[in-house]
Amino acid sequence: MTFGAQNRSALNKGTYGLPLPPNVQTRVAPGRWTNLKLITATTSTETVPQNVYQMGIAVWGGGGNGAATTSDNTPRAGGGGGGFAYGVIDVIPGQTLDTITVGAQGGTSSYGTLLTATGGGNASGNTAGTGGTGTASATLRGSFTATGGAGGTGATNTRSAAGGGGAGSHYGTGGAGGTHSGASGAVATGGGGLGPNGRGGNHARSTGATGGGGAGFNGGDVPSGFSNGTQYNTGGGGSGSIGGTINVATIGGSGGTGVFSTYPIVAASTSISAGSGFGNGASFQNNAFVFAGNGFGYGNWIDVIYQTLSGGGGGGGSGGTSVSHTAGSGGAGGGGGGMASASSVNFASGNGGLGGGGGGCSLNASSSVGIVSGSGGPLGGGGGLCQDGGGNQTAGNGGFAGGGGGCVSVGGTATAGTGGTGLIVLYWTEGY
Amino acid sequence: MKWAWIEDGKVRDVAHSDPNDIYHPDVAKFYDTQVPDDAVNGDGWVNGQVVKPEPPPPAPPAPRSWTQDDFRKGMTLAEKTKWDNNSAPEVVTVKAELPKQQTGAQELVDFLIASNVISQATATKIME
Repeated sequence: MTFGAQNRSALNKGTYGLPLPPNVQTRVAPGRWTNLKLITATTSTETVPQNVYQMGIAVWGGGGNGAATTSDNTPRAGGGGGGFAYGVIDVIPGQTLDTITVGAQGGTSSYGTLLTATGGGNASGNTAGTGGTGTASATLRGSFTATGGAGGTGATNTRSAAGGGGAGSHYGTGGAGGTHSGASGAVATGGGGLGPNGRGGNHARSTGATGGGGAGFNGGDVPSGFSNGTQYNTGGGGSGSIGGTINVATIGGSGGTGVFSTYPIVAASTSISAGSGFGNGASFQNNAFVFAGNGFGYGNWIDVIYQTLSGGGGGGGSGGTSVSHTAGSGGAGGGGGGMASASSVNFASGNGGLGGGGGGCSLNASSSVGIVSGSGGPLGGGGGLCQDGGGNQTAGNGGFAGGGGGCVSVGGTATAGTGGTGLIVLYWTEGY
Repeated sequence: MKWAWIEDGKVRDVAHSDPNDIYHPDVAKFYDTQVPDDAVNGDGWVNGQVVKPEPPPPAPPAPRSWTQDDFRKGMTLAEKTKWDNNSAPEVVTVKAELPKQQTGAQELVDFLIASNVISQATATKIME
């Protein structure tokens, strides 16, 4: 017996002749989403594209603000990252989706009543903001939730400013902002990236700045075995390794490496090999100055879902020179490098890439020169900023759903980094 | 009136419509307080009333900085001639050190007086 064309339409299109078994799940999620749309404002009019029967929906709450002060030896903490909720919903082409609510800074985002992510908490003094949480209906396929990362904190009675937390994601709980645990001098830590191992670099001595966290890997730490009084600059974390740390002031730590990955990006027949790399730290040797490098590598919002961000972290700046310069920024999945100096020159730490935290920025001199702390990339926390005398300074802001960095500017004005707003991302693959 | 999530005496978040329609039930239950329409995230909530946070204090003026031009403007013509022509090694050094803020600038004019490049009257005029 053969089936005519008129009969084939009643069959599962993938079986070619075999009828559907009764009472089984007929919708299978595609191997990879190929289309996406970012929703940054609340709406009730979003419709389902043609030939689409299921959508992945990722919901992030807003990030919390950091805290700020102009008083000496009063550390300031970073804000918490936004919570995360994800699920796959069944839809019909042309259908109007449920109300999509995008939270403001620190606010709650949601997709109808099915997916909700609360915002990260604001920091208060040296008490860090906590991460927001995610909630998903048990009826959804592929549901996943994660808590945002907490902001970092400074050691009691020290001059230190900490980074904000990263957002929750499929990498897990967001990376926390870096924490300072050393003596008083001038310290700023990096913001958190993605995943519990994507925190900003910790700092256990008196001076310097650490890099932001990457996608799954920490910014470089300054350990307790190093010296007090040296302007250390560590690299941002990458998607393949932690940021580097060097025990001298003149050379910044390298950014963490990216990962080399091959995967389909548009359709199953189209693949790319994603090169990636890290930025070298700045250096000043033999009277020659080498600027810090940026991390690079491929990655977009689809890679956030599949944990395939592949970029490297930015290199740290050089703390042993009076040359104005900027630490390296991270690629997709990389954190920005830290930048600290005792010279009254303009400088800046690196920004995070997608999913990366901003680097911390610290000036250990009585000066009003402008310094700029790295902002978090989307979902990343902002870097902290610390200046020990004068200046009107602002810490790094969080990217979408990232927490803001803490700010200390003794005798000047200090503005904390603001948390990012919430965000919704819709994913689909035509034909599914 | 809108529904809001109150936490630690502050408005944590304001819902734009009925929270039971837009949030998961596990979260919607926190939005249990009705607040005025002008309430925003971060406002205080004391005795059932919105308390707007105080605006931050105005920024203090940026510390004054002295430049080479500031130094030159206070000099006499004879002193300007020395200054413009780098007639003394001290002039070259001072130019390299500028700009400076209050303490550093005072140190530099004292240095120029000791080097007989400028007078005390000029130093006073420069630092005014």
